[in-house]
Amino acid sequence: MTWTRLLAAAAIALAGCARPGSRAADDAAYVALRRAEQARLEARCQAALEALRDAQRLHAQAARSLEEARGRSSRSRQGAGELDSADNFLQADPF
Amino acid sequence: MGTNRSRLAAAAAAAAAVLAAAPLGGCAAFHAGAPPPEIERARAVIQAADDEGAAVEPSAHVHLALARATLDRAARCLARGDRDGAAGLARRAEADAAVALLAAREATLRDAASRTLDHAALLAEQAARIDLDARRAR
Repeated sequence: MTWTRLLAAAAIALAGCARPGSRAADDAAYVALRRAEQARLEARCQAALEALRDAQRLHAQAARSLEEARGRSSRSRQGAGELDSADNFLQADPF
Repeated sequence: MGTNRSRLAAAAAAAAAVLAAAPLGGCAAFHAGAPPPEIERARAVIQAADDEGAAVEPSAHVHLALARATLDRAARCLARGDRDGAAGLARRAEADAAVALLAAREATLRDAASRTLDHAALLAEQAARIDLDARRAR
């Protein structure tokens, strides 16, 4: 009787050790939760990528504006320089 | 004598139950072998998360640490011969590492967007200053 009880207990213990349904179900539930978190983060990554692209467009626009402003400034200085040399020429002209 | 026979029969039945329960139950201690592929997959995703900067990104660091700890547990499980347990833990570790990777990626993208915007604002300010100086000079 003791033997049978012992062996039965061992059988239950072994089955309990495995309990594949329970452990695998726990793992699957955990992984499913993490997958949901991954989906949320993927959406946030997509939004962040779009924000980066918008920022890059703004940056390109600002860089063009700066180049144009430098061009205008350079042309304006050049024009002022030409006017100055014309004034000097007129002042120096003996006629 | 009859009682002894019935005891023996009961013991044999219980022994058979034990032997039958082991493979059905999937106690992997009985069939240890090559590591399950889940371990290598988890290791690869942990490495990818590390490469993405998860170790230094506060929002990702904890997930990466959890993934590493879980993978260590999987390795110990495998060393004990529990292959199924190791595979389950490795799947958990992979999922944690994937979260770490995405959290780090999001932070990197947001940081890059923020720095790009700051630099764009700086360029716009320079352009405005040049225009203002030119107007004053006229």
